[in-house]
Amino acid sequence: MDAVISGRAGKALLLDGESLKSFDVDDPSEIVSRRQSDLPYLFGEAQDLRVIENADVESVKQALQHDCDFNWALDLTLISLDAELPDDIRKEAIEGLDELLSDSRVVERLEGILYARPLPEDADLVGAIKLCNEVRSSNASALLRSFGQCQLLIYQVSQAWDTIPTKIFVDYERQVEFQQVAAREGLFRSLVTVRQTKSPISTFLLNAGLNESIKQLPNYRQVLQHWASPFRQPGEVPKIKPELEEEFEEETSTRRRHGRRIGLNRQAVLREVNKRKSIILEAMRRQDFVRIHELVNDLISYQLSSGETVHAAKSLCDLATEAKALGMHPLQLEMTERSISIAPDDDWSWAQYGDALLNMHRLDDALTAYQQADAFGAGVIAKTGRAEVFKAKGELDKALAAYDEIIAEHPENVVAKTGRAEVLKAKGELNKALAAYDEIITEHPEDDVARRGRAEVLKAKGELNKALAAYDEIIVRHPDDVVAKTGRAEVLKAKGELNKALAAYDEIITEHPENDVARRGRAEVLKAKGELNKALAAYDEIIAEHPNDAIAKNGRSCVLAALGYYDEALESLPDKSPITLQDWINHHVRGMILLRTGKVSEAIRIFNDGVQNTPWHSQREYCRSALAIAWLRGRDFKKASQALEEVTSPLLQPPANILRLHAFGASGNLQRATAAYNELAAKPHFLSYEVTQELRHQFLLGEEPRHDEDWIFDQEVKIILLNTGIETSRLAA
Amino acid sequence: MFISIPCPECGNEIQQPADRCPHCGRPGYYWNVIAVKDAAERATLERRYQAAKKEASSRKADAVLQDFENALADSQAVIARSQSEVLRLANSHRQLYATYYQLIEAGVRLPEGDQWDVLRELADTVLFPGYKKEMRFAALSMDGVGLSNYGTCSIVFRDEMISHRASVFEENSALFMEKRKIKISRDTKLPKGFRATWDERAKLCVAKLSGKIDSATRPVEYSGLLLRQGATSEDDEFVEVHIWGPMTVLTMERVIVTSPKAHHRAIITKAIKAKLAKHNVKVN
Repeated sequence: MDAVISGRAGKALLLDGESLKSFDVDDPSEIVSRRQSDLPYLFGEAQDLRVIENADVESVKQALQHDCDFNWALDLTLISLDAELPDDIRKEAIEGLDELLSDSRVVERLEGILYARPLPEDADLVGAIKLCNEVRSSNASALLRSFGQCQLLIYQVSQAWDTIPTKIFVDYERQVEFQQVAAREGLFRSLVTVRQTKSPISTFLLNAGLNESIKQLPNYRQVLQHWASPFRQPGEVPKIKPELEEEFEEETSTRRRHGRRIGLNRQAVLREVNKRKSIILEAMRRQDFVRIHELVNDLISYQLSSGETVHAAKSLCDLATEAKALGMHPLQLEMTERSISIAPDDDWSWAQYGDALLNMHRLDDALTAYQQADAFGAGVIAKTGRAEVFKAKGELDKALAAYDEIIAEHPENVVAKTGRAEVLKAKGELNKALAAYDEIITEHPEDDVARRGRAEVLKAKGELNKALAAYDEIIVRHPDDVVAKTGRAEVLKAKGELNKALAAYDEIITEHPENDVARRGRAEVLKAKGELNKALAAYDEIIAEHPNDAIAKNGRSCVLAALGYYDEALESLPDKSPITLQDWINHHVRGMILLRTGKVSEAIRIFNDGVQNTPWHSQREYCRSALAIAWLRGRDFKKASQALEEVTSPLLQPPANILRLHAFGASGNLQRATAAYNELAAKPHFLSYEVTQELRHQFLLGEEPRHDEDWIFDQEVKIILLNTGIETSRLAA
Repeated sequence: MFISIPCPECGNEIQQPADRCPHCGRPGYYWNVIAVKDAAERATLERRYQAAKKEASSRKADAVLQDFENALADSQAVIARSQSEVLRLANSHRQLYATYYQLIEAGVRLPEGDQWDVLRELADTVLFPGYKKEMRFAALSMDGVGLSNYGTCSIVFRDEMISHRASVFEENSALFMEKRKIKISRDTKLPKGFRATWDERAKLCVAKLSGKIDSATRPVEYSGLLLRQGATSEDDEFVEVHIWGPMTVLTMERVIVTSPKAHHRAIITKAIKAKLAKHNVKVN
């Protein structure tokens, strides 16, 4: 005789030839004849069905009783952990559980299930243990305490399971099936125990590999090896040796071989998708690109097989957003490219693709992508993206017009308003930008982007204490706001408090090791401190991880030039017509190197190009300073003085004042030279530069030169180069 | 057996068992309901219904039959399930419960062999070609108690949550086919007039049960006529309800629990009551 039992339904169905009979766990002596027509009702929705072959009635009764005891124990455990329920019900559940746990087989099966997943956040383990103590339930207390102590190990084992690629199981259905069998057979619990007792993983592999239920599953050896691999001790060598009858099974059919096919459960799919996304995110954080691709392929195959095409595209967009947050722009681009190929009419995917292209500085392609997004109905997101592209292209008037258009249509759109304020700042219209931010903050007091933008404008205006206070205010409101923290560190640097700035960046990096803005900011501080080899190493580290990081590459080129590695620095700079802000920065750096290597007229042409053509106010100011050095080099102090008079950016005043000390001092205007020198008192590290003291020595004190003109020229070039990246970190934020 | 219908919105063909138009994407096609709306099906049922009323009238039972028909307007779909199953449904949206229940829901894997073919034969039926996996089975009940042979908890469903996707069938559909020796095949022809839409369930019940009603039948007996609990499930008599698609705790109106014998079952019942109260589902 064979039987099918369900502990959840509390029923057993006996099959003896053509005869069908059943009994209930409450009254096993009452055996009822059944027909096929009863079967849809007999087990209901219960899916814990177990087949027992070649059994007698007595053994089926015992098996059913055991399955029911296990199910009740599970229900009572979950009730005891449920903070939503009144304490009296939870206490009764604990007492009932205590009774059932006197059977060690129930404990073993229950732990097999409980140890297969970490305790969900909504479970109240502490409360349950407290209630156990109140009702003096020792069995339940021991179970829950042990369960609580193993949570970290359970989490690790569960994570290791989740990283096994679906293809190893053959398909998603078999992956779920394998997990259920592994939980039922206590494999999760075994692996947790092996980890807890620090036993060799080979013990687990051996026992699991001998389990008859596990051996029925396809590719079980590969699954077990893959699962155990993160826990291998050094020296433990994986042994994958497929046997002939267990050759790797490729995908066959998504339909179950036996039994009912279960319909799509959207909540379950969503849970699964979210789980997989979080695993992919972990792989992104580890920068494990091979794994990322495997896992993303798995996720997308799973969603497409569930008929979730649009959701698959959205998953890719979500992951692209995460990649962007981690500074992995090529990955962001790859994900969004894939997203539009899956859902070519999805407006959101196109908008995300546009954003990725923008981050990769493929500006014309980004514009096209946003146009596509707009055509498919993305509306304001596409329009805002378009304005962003104009801004990145330096077409600041077009960007301003685009933002104005959005604001006219959507007066409540705070993204467009902050975008508009940023453009005003980029144009150097700092008072207008400040007024715009103030207006946004009045209308949207919760908007921290506007608050950060306002702090940046204050910094650009040279109102550094106000800027610092503004950032402090944001950080008090949101202690985890890493953008505000990096902004604050930059203000410290702008104030000349370089050690404080370095400490601030170090603190941010400790808390957010993945934050590239902080890492670039730190490198910038090292550069400003003159610790050039350390700065170079810091940039090299960033570039090794992000080879396309234009900001870091510009910073590195500046350091190379400051170190005198002119050829290498020139090679590292792309030779192209400048469009973006970073293009203009590297254009300016190229000019500085040409100037330093004696190609003065070529350098002057570049600086004049910057003064006349760059749309970025800050870059115009840098080019004016650079032009002043070129005139100083040619001993044309008048032109140099005139060029320096036009440098108005507060942030550039310290290096400009060193050059003014030179220009005015050399032309005999001691009053202006003294004033320039006195201005440097506010920035002690500029005052302490050897070149500052040499200029003072020569022009203010009238002493004999200690260094020649070449030396002074070299130092002045270095000062400009070391301060070139002064705004680059922020702009990346 | 597979049928198709024109989409009422875009006019293009929708092939069974699609639950939405593949062309314009508009959702809401319940093939069990579409099948019972077939003109020949409805005409045959109408003939059975009129014949039943005429016959009752000849026995002077027409007034009671009319009263029975009126009472059927309040009949509801009921599923009998175990406590564990109701607890699972009551908590399906809670992570704590969902996490662990998923781990034990392995489903049956029937071994190969003639013995198991008896069970496997039920995998597809002529009633629901291509969409059996979407169907849930319930019984029509007037007092909210379901077929207790199948579980101690009777779940009564909210009319507004199922009326658009439910159809009713004369009796246990598998038994119906067994009695009439209808074999499962692609060309199976089901006798017409034995199924109806939810709104016409009273008509089907009148056609089926009029012979059991006479002028002396009292309203208190109606419930037992509609659903009779047999000593064994073989003796159960009821009108089967076919419901398309999933059901959750929010589909439930109330739960009637009968005979929670063991102590731990009483605890589980208390927990179910506390849980369902949060969803305005009463437990009797």
